[in-house]
Amino acid sequence: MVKTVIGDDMDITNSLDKNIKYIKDTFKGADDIIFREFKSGNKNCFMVYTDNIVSSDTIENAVLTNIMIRSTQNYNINSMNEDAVSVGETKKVYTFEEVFDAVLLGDTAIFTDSDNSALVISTKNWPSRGVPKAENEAVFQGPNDAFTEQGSTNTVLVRRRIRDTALKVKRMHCGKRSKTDVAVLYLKDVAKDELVQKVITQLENIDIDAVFDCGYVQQLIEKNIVSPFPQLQMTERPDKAASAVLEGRVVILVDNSPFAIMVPAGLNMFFQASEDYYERWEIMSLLRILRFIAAFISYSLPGLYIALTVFEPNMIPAQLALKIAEGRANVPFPTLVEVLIMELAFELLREACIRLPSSAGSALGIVGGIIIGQAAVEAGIVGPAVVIIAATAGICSFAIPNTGIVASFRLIKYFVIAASAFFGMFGFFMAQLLILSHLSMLESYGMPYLFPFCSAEAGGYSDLKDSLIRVPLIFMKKRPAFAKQETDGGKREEK
Amino acid sequence: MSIKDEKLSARQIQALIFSIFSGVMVTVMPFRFINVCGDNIALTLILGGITAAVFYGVLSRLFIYVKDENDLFFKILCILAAVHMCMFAGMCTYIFSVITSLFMLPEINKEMVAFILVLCAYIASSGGIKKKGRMSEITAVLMILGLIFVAVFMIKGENFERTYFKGLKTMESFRNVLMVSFYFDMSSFLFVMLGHYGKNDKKCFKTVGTAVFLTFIVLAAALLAAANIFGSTDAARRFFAAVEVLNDIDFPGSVVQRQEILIMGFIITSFFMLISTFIILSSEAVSKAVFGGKKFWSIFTAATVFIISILPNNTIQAFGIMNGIDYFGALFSVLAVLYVLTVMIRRKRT
Repeated sequence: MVKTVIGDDMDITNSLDKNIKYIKDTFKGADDIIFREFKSGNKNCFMVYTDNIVSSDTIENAVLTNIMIRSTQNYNINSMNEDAVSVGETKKVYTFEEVFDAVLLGDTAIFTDSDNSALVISTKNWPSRGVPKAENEAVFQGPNDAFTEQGSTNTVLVRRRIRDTALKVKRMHCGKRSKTDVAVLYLKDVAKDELVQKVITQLENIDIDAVFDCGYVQQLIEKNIVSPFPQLQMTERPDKAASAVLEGRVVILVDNSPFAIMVPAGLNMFFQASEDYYERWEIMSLLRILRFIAAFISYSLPGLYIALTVFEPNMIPAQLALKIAEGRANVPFPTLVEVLIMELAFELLREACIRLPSSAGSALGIVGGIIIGQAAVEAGIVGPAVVIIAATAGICSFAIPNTGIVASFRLIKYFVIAASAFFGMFGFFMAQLLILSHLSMLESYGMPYLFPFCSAEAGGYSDLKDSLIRVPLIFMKKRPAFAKQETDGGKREEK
Repeated sequence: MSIKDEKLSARQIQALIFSIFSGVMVTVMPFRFINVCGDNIALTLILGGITAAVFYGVLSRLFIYVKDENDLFFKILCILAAVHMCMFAGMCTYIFSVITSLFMLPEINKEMVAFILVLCAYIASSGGIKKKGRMSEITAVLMILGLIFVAVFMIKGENFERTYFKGLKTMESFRNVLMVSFYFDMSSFLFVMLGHYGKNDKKCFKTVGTAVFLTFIVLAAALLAAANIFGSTDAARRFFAAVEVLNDIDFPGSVVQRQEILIMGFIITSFFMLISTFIILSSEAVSKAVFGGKKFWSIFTAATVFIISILPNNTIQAFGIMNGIDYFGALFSVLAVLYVLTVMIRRKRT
């Protein structure tokens, strides 16, 4: 458990005045904290909560009305909890730390005279924007709801899809000051115990002031921080998260973040889209293969172009080589600079389009495309072939259904470009091998990153059914190798 | 003999052997092979393949018997294995740099190419043998697919009318078969690598034997293609006939003019795997023998490989040194087998 910073471990005293003074001193200057003193019969009581994140209706109708109007009893904390408060979730606490945590989370704390405890009543009512539509991982066929910033809603969205008592939700806080709610979801009889424990331990060990988004958590619990490849998968789709839970993976939901983290994650998983399972297997298998090809093109094509045109022009058919040379006749820069100019322009355009409002973003895309594509060629800054190369690589990167892995390919593209620029096809091949070598070194929570393409040690060759191609659903009867195997009949054999 | 608890599955070991030695089969072996067996290619190939598979299968079954030993003779064998692997890797690096200079980078000197290969292999070796095993699962598949692609068009485009059973002499063929088996030169590699064998020991004969035979098929394809296109006499004069062969094959609708670059991808992959794996295993062997299993910086092994790779003055000299390394390998095999037999007798007595 993360230690509190605002309060300390001081216990609640019997004296209500002392308790009130301590609370008011602690919250001094925080005008959104509401203090309310009232009587229950002849007994003095004190209530504290945070404005705007509580349900006023609950406080007034289920708490205050019952204590102040409908009863003339002198309630203490126990009797108040048993007789007066008509709210489902209540908790008796003994330290100020627990009180402060609860109040800042949207709960209400009630103190009474001569009681060394407080009653925390669940009154959370945070502002939310409802369940939004999935935008980054949109599909033609299938549900379109997405996670929201409210952690509790996100949990509901997953639980709605898995009505199984084995679905466990472990709640915890991350961030010393933000105390952000984090929920760990898994299926008890499917997810491996060591995986669940590892994730929980990693989350408990997070030492940071605040967690504002699951991106923080992702970076803090990844093993290899130097690698450009994400070792955890993020999704905005509840159906994808639910599917991950069913596969034996662990899903982490972070409050204030409309994304879920799925653990473990391998390269293959970044190429899987929800839609793959909603439509027929033949076409989705074709699309899977296309995505892998697109990924390769997205980071390799500019480097390959440099290697071929600069070092091995005689590999290109003569007519094509002449066309390229003709296009470059007025270009004053070497091919490497030409490619870098185009790549940089494309990156800038992409970044600008994201930052601008959607209507202006699309306009900028068109204007930028025309300027960069046509004007740059006419001005003799770049050759037409380079425009085609950069555009093709860019388009291919959009075909990959996960933005995390696309960012990795964008980065390694420059490594391939550099290697090809220095050593031609030799550099190109060496760069590919180093990337492959790096990928084979990576692991995500014990699972090889290249699983199931290299899964001889895990006996996971049957998981190839859901990799480059997606076989018909009736043939996908076994859970992945990283899940508990007792639940699907029989252990796998190492090959 | 493993200093880390890194176990490889049988499939990974097969993939690793295939990935590592396929490049040697395409580059180094055809020239040496044709010069040994002349016209009598097909029979030597078939018998050589079977002999090599059985020989290394038996050898691995013996080596796995002593994977947990720790006595003085074992340590000496470890040192010899490390020396042999470094020399073999160094010569392969030289041959690779020659091929790269010939077909890809004529303007960059061989030493630079060798340096880059060894540097990249050293970087890739940092993950250990387990990661190399994983990588080989992918490289082996890619290499096999590439070979099938080439083989399909090669068979389609060429007519294999020439006979390769000319001048058949029993004794000569027998000698050739034995020589070819020794050309594989993987005894030291097996001696160290089998320490990582994570499967049932009894199955290692099948594992290694199958992998060696598969690798031999690559040699068969390369040799038959080279001898068919150039003829055995002309092919015997060319150092890298199997690489040059690719230019004579017509790929339908091909957009690539110089097709030998395609096979360079295959060769680079294989040599990259070979150098990085040998750096890992040599370092392990030295660590086990000299440092009691503690970490030995593989950068020294990598440096040794690079230094050896710049020693030859020309390709003929390099092939001559490779012959010497083969004899060293054969001597190592004999010593290792004698050692295993001694250990077996000692264990039976106790």
